[in-house]
Amino acid sequence: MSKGCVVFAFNNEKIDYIKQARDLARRVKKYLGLPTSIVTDIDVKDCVFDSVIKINDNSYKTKKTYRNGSQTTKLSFKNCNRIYSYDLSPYNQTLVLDSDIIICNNDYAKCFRDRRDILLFKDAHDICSPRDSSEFDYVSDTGCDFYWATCFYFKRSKKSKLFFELLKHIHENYIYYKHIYKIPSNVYRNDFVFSIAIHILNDFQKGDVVGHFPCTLYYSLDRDIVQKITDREIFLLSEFQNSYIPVKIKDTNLHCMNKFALEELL
Amino acid sequence: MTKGYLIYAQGDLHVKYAVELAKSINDGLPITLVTDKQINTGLFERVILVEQNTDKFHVKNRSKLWQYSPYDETTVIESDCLITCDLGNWWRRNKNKDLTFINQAYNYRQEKSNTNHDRKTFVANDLPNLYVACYYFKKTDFTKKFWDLVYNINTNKIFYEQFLKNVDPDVPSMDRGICLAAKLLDCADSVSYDCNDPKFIHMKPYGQGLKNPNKQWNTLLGFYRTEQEVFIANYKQKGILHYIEDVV
Repeated sequence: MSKGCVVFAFNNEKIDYIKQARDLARRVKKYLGLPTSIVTDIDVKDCVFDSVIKINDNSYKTKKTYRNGSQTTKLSFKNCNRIYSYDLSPYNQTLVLDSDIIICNNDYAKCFRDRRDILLFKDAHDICSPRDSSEFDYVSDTGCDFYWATCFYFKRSKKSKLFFELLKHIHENYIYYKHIYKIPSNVYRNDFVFSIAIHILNDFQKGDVVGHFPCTLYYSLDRDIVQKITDREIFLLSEFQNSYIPVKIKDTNLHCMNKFALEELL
Repeated sequence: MTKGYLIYAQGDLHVKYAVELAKSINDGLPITLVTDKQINTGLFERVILVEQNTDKFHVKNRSKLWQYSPYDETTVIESDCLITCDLGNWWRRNKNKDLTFINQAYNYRQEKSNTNHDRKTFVANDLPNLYVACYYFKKTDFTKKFWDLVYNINTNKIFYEQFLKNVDPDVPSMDRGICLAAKLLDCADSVSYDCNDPKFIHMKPYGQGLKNPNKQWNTLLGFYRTEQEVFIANYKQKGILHYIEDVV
């Protein structure tokens, strides 16, 4: 059974996702001992990647507000392609990671030993624990459970194929599902599409059609400022109630939402 | 041993609900309707006529339902409920009990409900958390003793004055009556149905876990149903659905 990591990286006007993906691939090799393939829309010649899968970006033409601490910028957001992970991955067992995940341990290797076909995080932990994280409980105030598409695992099976076919269907009919699930955000998010698919496959109830990732997902918000990254440690200033709390994490993976700060340090 | 369901409904609206409830019960057991007006439908094995009650919650009639039941084992379900699951486990687990009430409410997402908003009197008076919307009984001495006490609580204000503080609203209610009776008889544990199959889905608007609730849940959450299934906000409902508002 071939195993590997897939990262989607589509640069926009300001953010070099491919640069982030390079660092991720290096860390995946170091901590998980796995190859990484990159899916992108431009030519990338880089030996850090196991393979480069070039596709035409199929994203909705959307823009998103990116934050860098207190500063905001509106930029293109090309994020609709990971629904094709099943078709694009060269591996039998695939770990799909956001390029802005900083790997500092081998926790994610656990998923390859899991017997379940699909694993996602339902719960994630803010590194600044006093902050209200309830926006990540459900896709909307009245909608279904929120799952993170930031990091997921699948192995090739009928069930996984069905799941990804359903993701494509929801993607193609996103406006309809956005209204049905009363999603207020105008930004297309993979998290929403994955959450809706899981809800449907669970027969419109809570259920266990996908497994929970066998480790913890920590995240920092784009309001936080990453100060320093080493192989094992990350130093941040975490924003809370208009002031900053210094945070240091060690041997812990982090989903770092402040892309600007991340890029400066890589 | 005969088994069956008993539904109480007074007034056209609740009779309509009772009909919908009877249609949703599909295990073949007989259903008796206790009501104040004759109704002709093939859904009920019997229709028992009782005097009309004028109080808000019809507590006199409802405190005497155990007397009206023609069955050895009876499940009473409030009329504004729909059954969207198999009740086999309910009957099996209650087989060796005299009397049980649901003791846990769930919201439409199948999560445990926080009922503090609607049960302030219960919190203030340390009452057990039982629900009269669905209960089981056999006609035993204990059941008689329990329901006689509920009747007395609901028809004598002195019980409220002596045993309950901060009562809101200040009229007798069935839920408060049974919970106070269970407390006074020290039998809350033995009359609690402590299993989540079936789930009791209680559509109290403030128990749904919404950040921005409304006085009426159906203004926020879509409701639709087919012959077999009921959905609220795209969640398929499996259990005893106490919908409360006029959505059927």
